[in-house]
Amino acid sequence: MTGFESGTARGRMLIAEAILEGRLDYSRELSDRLFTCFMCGACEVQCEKAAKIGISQITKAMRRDTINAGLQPERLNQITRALSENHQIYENSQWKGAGSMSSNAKINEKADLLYFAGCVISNRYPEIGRNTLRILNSSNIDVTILGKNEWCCGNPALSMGKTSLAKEIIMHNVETIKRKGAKIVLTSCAGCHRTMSKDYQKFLNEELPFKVLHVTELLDRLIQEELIKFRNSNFKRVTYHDPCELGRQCKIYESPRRIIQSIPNLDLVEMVRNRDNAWCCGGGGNVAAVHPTKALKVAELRMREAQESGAETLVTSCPSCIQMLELASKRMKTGIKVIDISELVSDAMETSAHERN
Amino acid sequence: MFKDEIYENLVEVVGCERVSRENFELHAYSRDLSPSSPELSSFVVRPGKTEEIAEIVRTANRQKIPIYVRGCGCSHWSAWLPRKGGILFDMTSMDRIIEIDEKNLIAIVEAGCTWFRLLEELRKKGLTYLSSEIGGPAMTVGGSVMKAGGGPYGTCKFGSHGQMDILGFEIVLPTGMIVKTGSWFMPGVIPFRRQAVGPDLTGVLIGSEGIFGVASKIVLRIRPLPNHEEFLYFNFEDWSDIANVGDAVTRFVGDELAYGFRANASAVEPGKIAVRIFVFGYEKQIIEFRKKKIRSICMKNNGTEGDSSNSSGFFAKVVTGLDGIFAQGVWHFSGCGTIPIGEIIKYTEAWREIIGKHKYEKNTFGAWLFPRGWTISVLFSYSEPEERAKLMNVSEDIDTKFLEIGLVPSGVGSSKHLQLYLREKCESYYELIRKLKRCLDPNNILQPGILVDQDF
Repeated sequence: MTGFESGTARGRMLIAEAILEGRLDYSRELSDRLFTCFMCGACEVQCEKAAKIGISQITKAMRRDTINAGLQPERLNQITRALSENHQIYENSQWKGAGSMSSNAKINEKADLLYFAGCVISNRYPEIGRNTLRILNSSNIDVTILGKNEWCCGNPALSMGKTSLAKEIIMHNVETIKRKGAKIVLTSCAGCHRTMSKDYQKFLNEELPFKVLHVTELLDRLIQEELIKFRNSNFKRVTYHDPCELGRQCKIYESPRRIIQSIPNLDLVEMVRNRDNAWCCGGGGNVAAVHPTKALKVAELRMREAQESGAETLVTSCPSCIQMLELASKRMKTGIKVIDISELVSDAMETSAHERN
Repeated sequence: MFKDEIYENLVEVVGCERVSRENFELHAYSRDLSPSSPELSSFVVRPGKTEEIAEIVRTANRQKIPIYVRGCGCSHWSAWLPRKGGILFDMTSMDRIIEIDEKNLIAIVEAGCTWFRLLEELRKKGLTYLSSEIGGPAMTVGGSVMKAGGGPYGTCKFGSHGQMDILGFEIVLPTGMIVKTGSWFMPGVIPFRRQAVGPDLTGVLIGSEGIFGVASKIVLRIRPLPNHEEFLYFNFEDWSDIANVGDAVTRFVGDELAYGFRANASAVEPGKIAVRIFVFGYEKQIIEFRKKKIRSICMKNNGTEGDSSNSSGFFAKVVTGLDGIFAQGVWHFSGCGTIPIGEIIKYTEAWREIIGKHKYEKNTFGAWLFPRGWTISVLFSYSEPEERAKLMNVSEDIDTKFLEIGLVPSGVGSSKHLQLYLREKCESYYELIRKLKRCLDPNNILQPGILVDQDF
């Protein structure tokens, strides 16, 4: 993004080495530069082939140090305030978690499956939650939610390096889910999924008391078990964008593709960079908060790849990706619609007998 | 000139987004792949065009400010570490492909263009370059040519960079003068030949490690991409057989049988030598003929044929990607240089003697064949700091011994040891380089301490 070496994984590791050896101090400018990393994990995919360096962990540790030194970029103050006061990333006093999208859905007080909406879906894309709940109801799957007791998953706090705040959030969520008795937590957000499935365990002394599933994993299974049946899609030609936190970081590449390919009358075309070398949407690592123009440029590069694929619609499975790519698509006037995979499924799903009743 | 003034001057030339003097940035540029200690410049500049380089160089020359020039930063011989501070050019900002001329088979690129980018664009047109770079596809064309490097693809046939593939430079001299070399210097003439009127100035610049000027653009010969590829893999037990095979494969000058030929053995099993061969040719019949010939040569010299996928996979990965290459640890090279075709045995013997003496087994001896010679190196791996101290002793012994028995070193960089060796053992040759340097760069501002010592 910057063109300079400090914006690369290699450069950041040399900076970390200099700090550890006492040759370099933290500064506000360095803090600002550390927040140009999208935490997409692409560097680690390549590095793993040769050496195993935890580049993301080291970057997060440096971010943590800068924040502890009082050098947090000012643009992050709003998110930090919202997380501390409202337990989610928006300064929104109407926060209801998944409760904001469940008015037409059948929600159980207790169930084995708990739907965790997350900040972005609850505040910006409630239709993703509505579609997902509809699909679950239609498949006769009992589901519960946390409602107002759902806090942010903790990903933004962890990404910023605010470990204490992240821990407070994580412990709250784990205890609240435990009290609900849910065995599986389902989420439509790649960030929530990665954080809960990979980071939560690090903060607990016991085993995580629930399994974490991304909605693409569940939908893939339901389709294979023929619990979801499709009619012809109203979409024609789609491409799939791999969210970094679902793809590279959790290795979930094929479930969403199988879902798309099982819908009749739908053509899936790939962008030139896909799966483990998918280009980031620009939405990760808190970069969009600190460097919005740069983040949007990255999103525009991805939308150009979508244009080159010939797709009319871009499908993905993360609301942060939708947010960035939708904005890029509008600015570039591509005419490409950006949707969540739940919308694609919901659109083509045959009304079940259960739903008709 | 004070630092603030210099900074403002640089910003005026390239814009504030292309200059940095942030401490953390200088540290990000302070190391290459060599074991040298970190060195900091005072500024990092990312020029956008030749005229910007010229303007900065002119000012630096007036003010006697050192300039170092870096491509992708992949050197393992401290080729650009800013030992005297000053300005560091990051040339990756000049990475465009200016022209691909399919009819005349030439490509013109900015010096910061990577081999990967060039190959990607050439392949779209059914073309490719002559020789690749062992440092990998992320290296810049400028960096490779300033080192006269060579690698897995094409070197056995076309030699290292500069022997057949470079047709000209656009270069900014230390005084700020912009010069084109080869036929390119003539107005309205395409750069179709390397030596035009008078001496081969293109040749003077190749391998000069950037001490005579800042290369801004480079002209390369390109060629059609062959439709067919064949590979061979053989095992040998004796390096004298390898010497015979290398001689036979490159005996008919101009009709070398292979693009790529690599022999290597691990210190753990020095008698087990793997040979990977990439057969040269454009037409299937001719490639098949050469393949048969190479096979016959190898078998006559006690080679045992193995699965050719050991070769095809190797050549594909070395050019395009990594796969577990640091699994045994960090790399350190020693004994790097070139030797005549028939002398490989004395180097393998020296290697075995030294590693036997030190009992250090995490290393391999490798040799790349080029027309009538070998590029050799010993590659060490280490993962713990304690290993490194021991490794450096072994490495120094290898460097010293190999030089003693005739190695032509590649990549001098800021190595005091090599500079001293050249000064003492190759007096007149080294003095000629220093004279040229004094003539072109009387204030010694460009890459001071690189290749030639500083008190020249």
